[in-house]
Amino acid sequence: MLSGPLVVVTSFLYLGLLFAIAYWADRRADTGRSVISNPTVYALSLAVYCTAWTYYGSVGRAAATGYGFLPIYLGPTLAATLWVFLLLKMVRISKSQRITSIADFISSRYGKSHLLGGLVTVIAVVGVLPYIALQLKAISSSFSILIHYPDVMLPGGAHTLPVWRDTAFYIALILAVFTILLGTRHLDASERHEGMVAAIAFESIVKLFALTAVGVFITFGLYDGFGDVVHQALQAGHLKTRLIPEGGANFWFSLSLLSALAVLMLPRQFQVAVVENSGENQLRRAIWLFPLYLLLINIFVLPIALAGQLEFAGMGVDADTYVLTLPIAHKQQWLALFSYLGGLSAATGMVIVETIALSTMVCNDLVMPGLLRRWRYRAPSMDLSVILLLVRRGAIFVVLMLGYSYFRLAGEAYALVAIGLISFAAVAQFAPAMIGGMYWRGGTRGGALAGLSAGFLVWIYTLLLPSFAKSGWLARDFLDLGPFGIALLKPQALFGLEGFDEITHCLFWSLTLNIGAYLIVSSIRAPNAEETTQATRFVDAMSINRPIAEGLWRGRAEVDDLISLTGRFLGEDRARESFAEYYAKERNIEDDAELPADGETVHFAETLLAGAIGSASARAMIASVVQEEPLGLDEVMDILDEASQIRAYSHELEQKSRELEAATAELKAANVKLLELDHLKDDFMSSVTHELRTPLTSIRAFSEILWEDPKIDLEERKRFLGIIVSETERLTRLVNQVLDLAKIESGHAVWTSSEVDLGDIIRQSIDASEQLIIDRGGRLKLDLPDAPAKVMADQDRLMQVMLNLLSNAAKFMAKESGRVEVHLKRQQNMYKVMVSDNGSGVPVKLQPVIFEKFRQGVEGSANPLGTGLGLPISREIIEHFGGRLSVKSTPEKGAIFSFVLPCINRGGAAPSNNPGQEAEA
Amino acid sequence: MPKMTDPGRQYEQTILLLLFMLFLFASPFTSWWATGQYAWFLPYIFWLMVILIAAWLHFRFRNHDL
Repeated sequence: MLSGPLVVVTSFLYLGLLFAIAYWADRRADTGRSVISNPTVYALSLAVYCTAWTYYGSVGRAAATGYGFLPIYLGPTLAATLWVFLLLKMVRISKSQRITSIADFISSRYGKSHLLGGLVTVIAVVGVLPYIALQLKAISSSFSILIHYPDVMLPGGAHTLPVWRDTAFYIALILAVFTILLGTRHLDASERHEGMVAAIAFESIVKLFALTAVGVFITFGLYDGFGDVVHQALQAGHLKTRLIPEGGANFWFSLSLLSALAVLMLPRQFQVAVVENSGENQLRRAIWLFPLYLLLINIFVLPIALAGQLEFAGMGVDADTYVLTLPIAHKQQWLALFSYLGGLSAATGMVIVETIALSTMVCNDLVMPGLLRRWRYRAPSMDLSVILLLVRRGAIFVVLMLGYSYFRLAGEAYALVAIGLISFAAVAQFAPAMIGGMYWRGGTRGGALAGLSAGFLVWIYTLLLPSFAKSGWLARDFLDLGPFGIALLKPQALFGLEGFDEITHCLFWSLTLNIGAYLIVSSIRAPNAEETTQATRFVDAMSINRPIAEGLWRGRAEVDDLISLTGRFLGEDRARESFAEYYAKERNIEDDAELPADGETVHFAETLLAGAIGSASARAMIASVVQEEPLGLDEVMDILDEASQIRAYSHELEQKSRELEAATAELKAANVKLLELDHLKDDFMSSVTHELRTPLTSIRAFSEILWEDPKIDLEERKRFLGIIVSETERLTRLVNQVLDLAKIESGHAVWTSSEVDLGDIIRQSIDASEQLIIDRGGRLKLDLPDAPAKVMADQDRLMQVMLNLLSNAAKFMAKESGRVEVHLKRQQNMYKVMVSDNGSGVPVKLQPVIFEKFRQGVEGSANPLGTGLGLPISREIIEHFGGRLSVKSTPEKGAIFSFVLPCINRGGAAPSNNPGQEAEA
Repeated sequence: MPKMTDPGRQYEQTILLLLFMLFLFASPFTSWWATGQYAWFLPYIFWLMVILIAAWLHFRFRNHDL
């Protein structure tokens, strides 16, 4: 039987398992066998998007609004289609600049501004606190429900208990310790956490399986499948409208947009998608696998919601708890425990990644700038990496305690989904500065500050303050009548904009003012030198292969100072290792003594440091050890123009190089063709001379006999003269064919085009060739339609083609039981003539070249059976009349030579396929 | 004409997929399928269709540099 201690022990065992997975992944990474480089693990880690909000809250939302939960997952699917442009660029920028958080990204883009990084951090912390509170609420509620098994008992208001008796407080403490162990055991220069990502990917599998298990139990265990649940829900009457989205198109659209922005702007999503990314090709699989995960985890949401409505109708059970209370109500204790673990994994995953991401931002963009400013001129000689770790651990603790405080004060006022949407709307404010900064060079620090401030203030006014009013912290009149009774300033009907839900209303005003302020303020002042440099690095990220540092820095620096400075934040050994790798790989230098203290080296040291303390602080720290001569905007523009020209020139060279390669390939192909033609010409000469010599030899031999022996008897004389005539005809035929082909190819052939009947031509050809086939022991089958087959062609030329095909068939048909068939039929607007034999067929490799000049249908024949010109001539003739000659052959099963010619359409009926005339020879 | 394997082609098809998704889930067509007269799983079918097209594009262009 489930009990409090069992649930507590199981929870700790589960957290222990997560830690073991993280430890194992870290060890593997140390040996160069990274687990998280696998694209599937990457896609699963992105599923940290699905928190307790998804796990419990989606069912609650589905129970209230039917499809109303779907846009929260369709938005990310929509955004994922654009990742091939957007996320790829973010990853590339972040890797080249060693960006470690979303605050660092925005701060770095607008000239490495401390102020901007700090503002983004404040927005992120304030905006995400409700979300963290939501996770604490989910864990605490599910724990309270489970320990009352087998009763379905909902938890009372936790805020009425003293803090030391509140489960959520201890959960927050345990999670803080666990997050510190998982995320800040050591300081990594790139802020990547192999172990944490592996643990998060595992949690994604657990929550998916747990929700699916509950769904399968309810859908197929309690009901007879999906159809049955929906049918019973529909019969219950009040559920009929549940499938219709609530709030109409506006709400549906704004929720989709909000989710599409949040899936990249939430600090934890930026952490797993960008900072933890270990290869651009991981994005490809994530583009479809992550949406597929979202689809799978949502399949059972509607059936569970409907089943809960049917099961607990009128009992006052909160729909947010159906995933847990339904198994409990049916006495499924182990399923209930598994379901609890699914919820625990969804909530802990979010809390771990979110607090690690926020602690990096708080440390780098709020705490360290202040500390470094104090130490700038009298920096302590101690190892600052220890301070960094302490600050981050402290930040994790503070963030979780703030989350708990929010949960105590306001968490009870809203359902789970409502709390999550407040956070989504807050982080959506980063979108204009982030996306604008990646594609627009004109964006300035002032513009980004103005936009973010405006959006954030509107978010506080239209969403956060009303949530406080609903929690009783503010007078309800503030919400209903507006401040000081000014109706135009009502927080949820600002400037008279009514008829929208609170999220759409907030999104409209906050993004409108955010984008407007960003564009207007950016347009007032041109970007300065630092902003211009960073704008180029961000906007041109996809076309820059190497960092543009050379020339953008001018001054004096010592390499030892740079190594010593980075060593104080990263540890001496790690700094030296990083520099050694840099000068060996990037500069081809063996010894750091040779390393020039130029712009590239200073830039490398700065980005290395940025990985640990953020780009703005890194910039400040580097400035403290080098003597930099500031560059004017004109100088920066000149350098960037030059870099841009070099890139364009390099691009042009690449293009020319590709064109040259293509031309070389064409020339090579032409050369091969010429060599082949040369070879064919040699073959032709050999063939022609052979053909000429054979009859000439016999003509000469028989002529000499007749010349030397005038008394030879008459019969013998006639026979010899017959041979001489026959051989002369053969010679004439060969010479005629060569001349004929030459004429056709040169375009000097005379063509007489008239209306001819293909059937007549075939019959005449058969009459001329039939005896040849019979003499060789073969049989002839003729299949012609009754109706005339009229085509426009030269009768003599077509006869020539038919005679050639028939004589070839007679030559190559089987020695014993030879068979030649001729068919004529109509195919749409063409007539097709087929001449087939049952000989040895045309070898497969000869089929593509059989219509080339001097090719023989038999491989390696010492005594060619023809001149090798008949088929090329036939093809020329058929093509001249708009037809096509082709061959189909299966070796040892004969060959079919066929040609098609366009028929003349004068309303005549198409020839029937009934063989009207069939002759057997 | 760009070759079928050009990255530009990939971008074109991605944008087409996005427009198709907007048509399914953010247009008057959404109101049509969401009236409740049709099978409850219809949006899931549309959703799966979009994912399959995205996967097909992934396999089609997998040999490209991103």
